[in-house]
Amino acid sequence: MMVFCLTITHAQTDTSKICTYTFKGHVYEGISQKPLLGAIIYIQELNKGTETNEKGEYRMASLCAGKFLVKVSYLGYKPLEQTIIINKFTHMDIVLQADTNVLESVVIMGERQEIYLVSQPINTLEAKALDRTRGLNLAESLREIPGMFTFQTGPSIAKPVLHGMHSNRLLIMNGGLRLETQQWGAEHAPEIDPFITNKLTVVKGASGLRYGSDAIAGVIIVEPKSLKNMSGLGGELNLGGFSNNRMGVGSLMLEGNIARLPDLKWRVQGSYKHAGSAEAPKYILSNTSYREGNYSASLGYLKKKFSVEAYFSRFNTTLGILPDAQPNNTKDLALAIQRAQPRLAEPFTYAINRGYQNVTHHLFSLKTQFNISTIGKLSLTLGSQWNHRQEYDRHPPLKDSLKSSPQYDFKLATQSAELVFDHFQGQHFQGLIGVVYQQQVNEWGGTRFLIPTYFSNSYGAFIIEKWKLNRLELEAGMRYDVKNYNYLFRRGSQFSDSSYRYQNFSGNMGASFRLSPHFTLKSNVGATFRPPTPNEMFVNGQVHGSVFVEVGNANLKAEQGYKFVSSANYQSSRLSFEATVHYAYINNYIYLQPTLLYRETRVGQLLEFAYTQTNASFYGIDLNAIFALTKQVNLVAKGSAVNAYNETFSDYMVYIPPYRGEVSARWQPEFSQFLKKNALYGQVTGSFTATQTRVNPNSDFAPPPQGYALAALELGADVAIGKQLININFQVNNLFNTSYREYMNRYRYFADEPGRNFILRVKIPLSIYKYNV
Amino acid sequence: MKKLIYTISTAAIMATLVLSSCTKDEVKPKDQGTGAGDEEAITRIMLTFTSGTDVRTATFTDPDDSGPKPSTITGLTLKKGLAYIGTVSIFDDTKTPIKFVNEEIAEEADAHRFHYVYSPSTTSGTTMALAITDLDKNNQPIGLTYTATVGSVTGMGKLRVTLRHFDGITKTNNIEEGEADFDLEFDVTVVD
Repeated sequence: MMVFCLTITHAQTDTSKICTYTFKGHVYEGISQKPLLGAIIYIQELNKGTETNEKGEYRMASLCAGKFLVKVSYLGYKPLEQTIIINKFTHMDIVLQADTNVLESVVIMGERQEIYLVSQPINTLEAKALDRTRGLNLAESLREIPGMFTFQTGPSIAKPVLHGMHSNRLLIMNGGLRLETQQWGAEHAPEIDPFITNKLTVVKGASGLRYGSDAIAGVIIVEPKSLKNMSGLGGELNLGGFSNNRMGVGSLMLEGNIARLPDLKWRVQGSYKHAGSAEAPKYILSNTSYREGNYSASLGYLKKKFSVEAYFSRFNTTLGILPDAQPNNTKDLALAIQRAQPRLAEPFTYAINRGYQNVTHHLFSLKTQFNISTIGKLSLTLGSQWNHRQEYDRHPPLKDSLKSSPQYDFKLATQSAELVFDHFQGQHFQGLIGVVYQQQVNEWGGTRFLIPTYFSNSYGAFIIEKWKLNRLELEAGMRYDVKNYNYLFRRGSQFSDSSYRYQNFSGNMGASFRLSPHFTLKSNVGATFRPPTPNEMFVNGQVHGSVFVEVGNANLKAEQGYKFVSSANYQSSRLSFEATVHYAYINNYIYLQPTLLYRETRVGQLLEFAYTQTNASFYGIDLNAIFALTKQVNLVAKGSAVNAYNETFSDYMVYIPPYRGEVSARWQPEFSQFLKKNALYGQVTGSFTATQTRVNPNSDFAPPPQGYALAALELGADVAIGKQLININFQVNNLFNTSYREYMNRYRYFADEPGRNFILRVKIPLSIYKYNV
Repeated sequence: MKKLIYTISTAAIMATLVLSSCTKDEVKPKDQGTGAGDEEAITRIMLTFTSGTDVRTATFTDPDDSGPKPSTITGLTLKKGLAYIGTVSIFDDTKTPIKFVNEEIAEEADAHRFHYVYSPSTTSGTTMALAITDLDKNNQPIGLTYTATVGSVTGMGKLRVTLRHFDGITKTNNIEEGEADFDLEFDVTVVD
């Protein structure tokens, strides 16, 4: 783990009293071999230090000859101590290795490949920070990142929320493709298995330019690890046990290549979750069991000039819906909301009863890339996705022959193609030019109407150019999109159809400026447009597992959104700090407005919501700070605040995350040589979520729940058994078994959140054999 | 070499565990029937009260079954002191020909139970005695037919009519059990 390379070159002369020597060199990052900016070089005897510049260079002049202890440090990397002798010009190149025990990942600035705009704040979850979320779903994992929240329907369905926005406004990229699923529903969680990746990335800022015009809030990138650096046969095994819902999780990944054909590389991966009823501190949450089984495979032929990569993934989940959230008779609704606990508190079970959904997503991508030496790279990505969502109401269909059929049955097929040219021009210019095409068919089936069958196609072209000079980077881009929808309505045996066409420009510009080796400022502003989605236009019916009726509005216009983000990032050996402010203004913002009308039906009253448009503003701040108190103790503080305002009606927006903060202290003792291979760490965390007070009390069926404070405890160890390393992680979440309700969970009307959860995770990296390259 | 064997065998065991647990408990609905466009609906529920030549009806209509078109409900006017024979008729008017849903209920009688509950308005002393007259194969009441005996006081009240569906569970006579296929309240006026 503590590998470092040192090259000390020195010429010897016997002049020990002359103080004109220079000590200089570079500091590099261990894996990428890129220079590290802001690494601290400190000479203990002289009490003197310096830092590396953007080329990773450091230099200390006017030194006297002698023998010194040099300490090199950089947050997130293993510190290095080395005795050196200075007696003329001394040059030392240092390679620092990432400290895999660092729980909080360092914010990585502007990676080239997937994330193109460097003027947008980018937060990642990787290494230990990702390991400690293993077994959680995508949205729950991302809550570690300031500014991210979850929008939940019970303990098993969670959608990621960034800066108060979710669903179509927060895009998810999987394997180089836009994840195209039935993302419109509040109870439709993204079909992503976080085990496919070793890095989750959140880009905070309007991301329509590169990924499609609707991504006003940002984009979540779930890229499987590159096949590039692999050689031999290796893999990773993850196992986890969760006490609260007695969930077992397993994931196995294997990857490799063969000696005869080293450029042909492959990976297979699979994961499975089996969860029973979740338990609130005072009662069991009935019918909240779920299963999830996923697998993926990658195959790549990677040459320097040419590469082709194929990727396939399958996601499948079956999850239960709490019976109280879908009252039998809506005369019970008010009662169900007033009741202190759910009416049906059944004993613990793994069984899933009616009132469940079954979702399968298949994704296939094929990426071909040509490297045209000095001019650039040309890549073609073809994608195909198949989403099948079946929703079973608590109450089966009336007809006996349809008894085990779903009420709603949607099949969405998406085909896409993208051709992108990444060009380099001299030292200062780089840019992307691309064209994209996508077509979709969403077929409605089942026994009840919700949204019509539709066909859509869209095409667009974009250009992004950036200019870089020393510490300043400027970038700007433009995109034009056309999107067509054709809807097919069927009522009994009658068919009718209607067509819609939307087209507009999107744009983005920003700057990144490095004030000092430690301090970087970024600002970005983007304009995007988002056509109304099929559900916003034509939904009409009762939402699965709820008493809500949603009504679409065929007169909706496309949204026009503007988002500004700006971040200040400070990195030094002891402190890492990032603050991000954001402001978005959206014309014709489409949202669900409670009509305060009850729809009288044969089963009672349903609560009606209608899609409507307004002008809305969103603004807030995210904070993240890591401070090394001592060598062994790190303090971490995070927080986020977002406000959303309905400008047209001068009122707050509903379902916006409350203010939230978190502090933790991490302790990582240093062991003697004897125990060097084994690492141990511990962490205590307190998190605080405020009551959501910025909401109109008359806009909801129940007032926002009280704020809450939760404590968590974590212990971890990296144990070496022979040559095999095993990472063990033990957590206790909701340590004091606090009863609370979360504003951003639609079950809050009916039930508390789950209570204490003991989690044990074991990760076994497998290195079966390696070739010497 | 030792390590290789060790690691491969560990991986193999773990893989077997993970994969075998995958196949075990997947919930697969028996019938994946897409039923595209095969919408089920109840658009009309009609109560008919007959006493000799005195025939009274009350109707709940929802032309698009929970859709945006409003539902309407008409009340029931009954004569005091009369004993009525009651029936309930359930229709799906969206189908051609119009579907008579009673037939399906009769076929699955042991999974269905109607309830008729009368409650006088707070100011009236009206009464109505209701009794179900049909039985399923287990000798449990169904409720497609019933009798209603109206008391001698005139005034107002409400008649709650609900159809409970017992899918895969034993039918009971508790009005709050089973799933509601419908649950309605009709205004009742008892006249001279």
